[in-house]
Amino acid sequence: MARTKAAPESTAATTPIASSERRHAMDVSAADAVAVTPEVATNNRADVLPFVRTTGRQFVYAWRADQWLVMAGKLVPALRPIRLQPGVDGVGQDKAGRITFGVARQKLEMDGWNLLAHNLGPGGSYLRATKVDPTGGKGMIRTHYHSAWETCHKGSTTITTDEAGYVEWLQSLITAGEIDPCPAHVATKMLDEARASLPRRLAKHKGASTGEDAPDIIALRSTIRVLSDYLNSLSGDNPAAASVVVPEIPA
Amino acid sequence: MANEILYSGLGDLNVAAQLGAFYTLLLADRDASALSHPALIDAGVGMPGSLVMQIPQVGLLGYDLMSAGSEGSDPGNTALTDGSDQITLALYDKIYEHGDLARMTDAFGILDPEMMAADCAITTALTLLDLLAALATGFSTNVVGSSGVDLVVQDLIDAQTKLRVANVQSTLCQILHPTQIGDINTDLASIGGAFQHRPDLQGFTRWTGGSYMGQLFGVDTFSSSYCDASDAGANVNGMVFGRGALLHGRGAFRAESDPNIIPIAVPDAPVQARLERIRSGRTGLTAWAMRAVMGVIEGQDAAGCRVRSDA
Repeated sequence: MARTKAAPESTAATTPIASSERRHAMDVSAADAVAVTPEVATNNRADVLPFVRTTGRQFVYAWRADQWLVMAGKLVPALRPIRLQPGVDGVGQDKAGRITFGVARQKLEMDGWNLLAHNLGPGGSYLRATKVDPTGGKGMIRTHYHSAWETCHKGSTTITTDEAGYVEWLQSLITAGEIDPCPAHVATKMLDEARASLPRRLAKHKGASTGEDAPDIIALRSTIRVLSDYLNSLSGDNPAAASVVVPEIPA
Repeated sequence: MANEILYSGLGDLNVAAQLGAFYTLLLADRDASALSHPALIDAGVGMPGSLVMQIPQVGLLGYDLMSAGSEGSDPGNTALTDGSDQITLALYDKIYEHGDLARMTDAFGILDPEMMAADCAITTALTLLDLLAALATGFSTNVVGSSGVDLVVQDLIDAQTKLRVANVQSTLCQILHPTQIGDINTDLASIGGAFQHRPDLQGFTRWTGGSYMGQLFGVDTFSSSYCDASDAGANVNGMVFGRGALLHGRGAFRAESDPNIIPIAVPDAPVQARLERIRSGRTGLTAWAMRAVMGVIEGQDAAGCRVRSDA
């Protein structure tokens, strides 16, 4: 015997809705919506360290009279970061674990390098130490050494550089006499090399209209301009003394 | 319905997680094959008495040419030009220590002596490569590349030219930062023509993994993450060098009649490492101590070239 389902009794909850009322019942008005914040198990990102993978070592800067580069539109010394790492270029270590630098310093000075004391940097030193987590938040904490113009960021592998600040510091060292100005012959050689490489780089862009907008072309033209202006500002070079020689050739 | 048997309710009959059949290695630069290149000079083993090795440099075999002489006259002596490099050796070590329960539940042999020995060998080689990479910023006679500008093939050609002018006549090797390798790949892709299809460049134009990229104009090229940054991190530094530019030396451990001390042969480099098993029965801990003694130095500055480019 077929069963028939009795029609439900009409109640307030089940009263058939008129068409106009049905339309309103289907709308979800703003007053009915409730803000929800899902709870998920996650790390507190505010407490994470930078995820920098390669941990830099302590270093000391050295400058040399013929090492220069154009950076951020300025002619500045190309400092050499010398790792304070035992076994590298004469750096040693005593039994207390402290760095010994005598042999390395002798070699550096014989090669024409001049050490820059750490206290010449901003805030007492140009060397900084940042705690990092190379494992990306799993708690393996290491120390990353870097310059005062590099910034690590929490939860990121990115390291940003303050080029303008670094260049400004280098120029202050020249002004203060800690680093000698760039010799004219060095700037001249750099200018000649830059001018020689410009046609080759332009040819690579095959004369495209975007050639002059290419980053390497822009950088190269800036280098040429900076070096030209620098040479024009110099009053003279400092050549080594040379005596005049007239060989005797018998008639 | 009630009393359904669901996974969520079988807390006593299943586990939260089970180990897979294999493990993966975390990303790291593990290829030190550049150490086997003939352009690198193995200065040998440090002898007893000092941790400093002195390697002489001699100006003979064509260094000084003859001068025109005259019969019956004494030309005078020609001074012998000489110099030396001093390699300071340093101890490098690393220790892993595990407990008995960790060893008991080790499902993959991670704590096996064989794994410790393999780690010792590879780590020693990579540490030596890291020390050598630090020397790239020291080359001052020859420098190519521009600050803030990507590396291009022309820069490497310029480096070869500078080394040729400096009379470097050995085989060359170049170790570049991965960013610089990417720059060269980009430059090669834009050059076009038959250049990209040269067999010796396939390491550049096709992903192969590992650090050896192939030869570029006859120069073996390696990629290494150990190349240093400079200029407040704005630039990275690789290097091109011939024989005489970089030297490395090593210390030799004396033979011990101790079965817990294992000499380790290091791949790609004649560096001797030592693995020592240290057991502490009272605490149930086993330590694996890895040690090697090595040092590097920049030899003749003109035999190498610094390659600087945008980071």
